Amino acid sequence: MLIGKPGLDGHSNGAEQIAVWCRDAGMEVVYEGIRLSPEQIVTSVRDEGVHLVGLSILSGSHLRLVPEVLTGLRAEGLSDVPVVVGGIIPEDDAEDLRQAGVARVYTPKDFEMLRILSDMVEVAEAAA
Amino acid sequence: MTQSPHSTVAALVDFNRQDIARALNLLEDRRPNRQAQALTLLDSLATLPVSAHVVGLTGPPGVGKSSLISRLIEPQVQAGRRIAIIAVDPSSKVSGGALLGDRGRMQLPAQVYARSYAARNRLGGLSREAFSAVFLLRHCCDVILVETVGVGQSETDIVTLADTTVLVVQPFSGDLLQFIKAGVMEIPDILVVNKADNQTLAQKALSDTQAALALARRPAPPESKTWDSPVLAVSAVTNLNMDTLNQALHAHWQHLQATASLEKKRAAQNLEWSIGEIVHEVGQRGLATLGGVEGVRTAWNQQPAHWSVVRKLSALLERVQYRT
Repeated sequence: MLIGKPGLDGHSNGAEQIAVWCRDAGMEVVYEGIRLSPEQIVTSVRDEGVHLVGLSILSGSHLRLVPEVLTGLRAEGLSDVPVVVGGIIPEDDAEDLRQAGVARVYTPKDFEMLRILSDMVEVAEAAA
Repeated sequence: MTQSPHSTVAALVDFNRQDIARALNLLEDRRPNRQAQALTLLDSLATLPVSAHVVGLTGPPGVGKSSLISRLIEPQVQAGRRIAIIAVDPSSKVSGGALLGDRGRMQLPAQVYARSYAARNRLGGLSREAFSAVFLLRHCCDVILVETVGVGQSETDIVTLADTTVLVVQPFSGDLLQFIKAGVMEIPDILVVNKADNQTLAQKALSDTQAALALARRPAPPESKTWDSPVLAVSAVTNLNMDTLNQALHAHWQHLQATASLEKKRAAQNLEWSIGEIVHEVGQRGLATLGGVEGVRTAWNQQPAHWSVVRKLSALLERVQYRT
């Protein structure tokens, strides 16, 4: 899977936690880091041939950045790659993101790591 | 991969990165029918000329391989060259998973194609998939930069994949004895001391590695045009001597072509890879049954540059085994 942080927030701890847990669960994780543009993320998804994309956003700009990533993926013919999002995301916004095509939205309420991991595996399997 | 193989090959050679990504996905796919398709694709590419200079960068973790790549590609991107990067990181022995972090640390212009691989159970600094990726990509672009896992002393896989091998070390990374022991010191075509912005320490590393290289060099017959591996002190951070490194890469590439050693090198690489694949499939006894290294070499020579020959050989062995 690919994990990256679009936008200008540098709070990478959450993304790093997920990346390391995914590795420990046996996944191969491309950790792309912070302050990425939606275009950079789309290029990486294309180049790396991943099965799942995880975006972490704690800056509040999820309603702007996530749809840009989704649009970019569609333009590259990658709409079959599922996207999950984690961050400080109010429930109304989460619903909007799901409507826009995001497979799952995780918030601080989702603190059970193993549940998140197995959930992401399900998402990836369903799309394969 | 719904297109016909023909149109895919055309798009690949055209450096269409969407198609390249799809083709590399196919090479990674372990399902038997997809593996067969992948070999067919490699076979059809193998009839086309090899356009790329394959440059391998290896060295200890944290020495600055990713930073050097970011710097090396700058002038090449400006010159409009088509560049691919293959970066390999280690897999966890505990979980089998991997955290691939090279991409995040490189400055990648949009024109560059970059792909990360996990080493999985391979110990030589590369991954199986990285090999086939390079075999495909070398028909599709001008330069391929391969970054190995951060290595210690004996991981020398990169020689069997790269046209030019660059060993990167850093100041303060050991004394002369550390460098002359063996292993990685035997492989470089170019040796780079990175982080030379710290001049005193860099000078020490420079003279230690120069001495070690001189010891590692095998005596060559006087008439042979041998390559004297240069030792360069550079800094990816301050851009010190990066143009010299690019010139050295170019000089080695020209040397390979002028001495006709490029083809020989690649033939040896292909053979070495085939042997590895066959041993992976059917083991040392299987290889012996197929006539050993010579048997595989003969098969390659009969059908040069046909990747499926490897599969045919191990499949042949399977049939023989089931019959008897």
